[in-house]
Amino acid sequence: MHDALAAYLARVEKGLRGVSSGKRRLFVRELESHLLDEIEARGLTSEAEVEAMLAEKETPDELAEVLHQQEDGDSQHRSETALLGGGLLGLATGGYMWINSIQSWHLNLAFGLIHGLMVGTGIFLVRPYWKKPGVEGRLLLAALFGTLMAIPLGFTSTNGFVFTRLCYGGFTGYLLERHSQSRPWWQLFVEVAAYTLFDAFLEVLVFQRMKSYDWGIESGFNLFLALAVMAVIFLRRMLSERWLFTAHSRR
Amino acid sequence: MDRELLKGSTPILLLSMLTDGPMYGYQIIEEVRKRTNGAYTLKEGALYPALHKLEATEFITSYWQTQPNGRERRYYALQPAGAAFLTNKKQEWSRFVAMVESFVGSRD
Repeated sequence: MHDALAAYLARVEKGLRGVSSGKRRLFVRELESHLLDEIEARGLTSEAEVEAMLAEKETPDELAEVLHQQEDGDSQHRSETALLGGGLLGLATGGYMWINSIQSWHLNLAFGLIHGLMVGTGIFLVRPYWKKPGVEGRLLLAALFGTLMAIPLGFTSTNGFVFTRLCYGGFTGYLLERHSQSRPWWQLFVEVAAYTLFDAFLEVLVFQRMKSYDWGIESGFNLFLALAVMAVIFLRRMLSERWLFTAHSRR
Repeated sequence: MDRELLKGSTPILLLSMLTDGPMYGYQIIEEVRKRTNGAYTLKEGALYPALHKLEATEFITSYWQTQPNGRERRYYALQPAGAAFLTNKKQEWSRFVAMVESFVGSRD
């Protein structure tokens, strides 16, 4: 690599202190790739030519500052919308259980808090980090992560640990990942029906926790959960669209 | 040309370019320069924050690809949500242009 380019990148990296090391490495690697593309396209070979090219650019400090600002803004937006999204999701599911008097109020509250703030917010926060796997891989990861985050949900019952509660986390993760890109609405209803059948199979035949499955309450809950997921995705999309055109304030 | 006006349109401009297929940073800058006949030069400090923001909204995605010469490039590609957003914005833009044109355009 050219000395001038190495020095330029080192100064940008220095200016990015405060940004997470992963992001910092990514920004510098991306910038290096960009500048090498330009050097190659312009056919620059000597150190002096590269220095002249870099002199046309923003200074490393200016560049680091805008990248830093953007990253600060991104992470703040991600955290705020994840918290809001998770909170609304928890309010919806906990609220449904409370309205239908499914359990005592404190267990419904615990369910809503865990489902919203651990499963919902958790998935929103980690989703940006699993871009490498394909569509199916991301769906699987989301479902597994949702299941994992839903472990405390298993304890929100007076009947000991309820294994099938974990499936709600997995189903939430699946829905959040699958519908983060526009899908036909009918798929959502098919997914709710399929999940309800799966849940009935587990509750009645596998764990034998229920003798007769309450189709009305259970499918209503699953549908309400799916609609809440869609509403949260819509809200986050709307906030993101507005945020996209918002300029970050100068530090 | 009013640079501030163009700056505000950067996300739409980037999404529009990506409808032709995945592109890498330097390629985008060159394409903008070419399409505007050099009237607008997108700087790295404007391009990458805009791309990262579009990626955070899941309108685009990115991936590294190794070139035949062994170097790596980060490509950006349009996502279905970005395409849907772009379609809406294009319609809005057409309505806006028609409205402004009714005031500032020729009245023959």
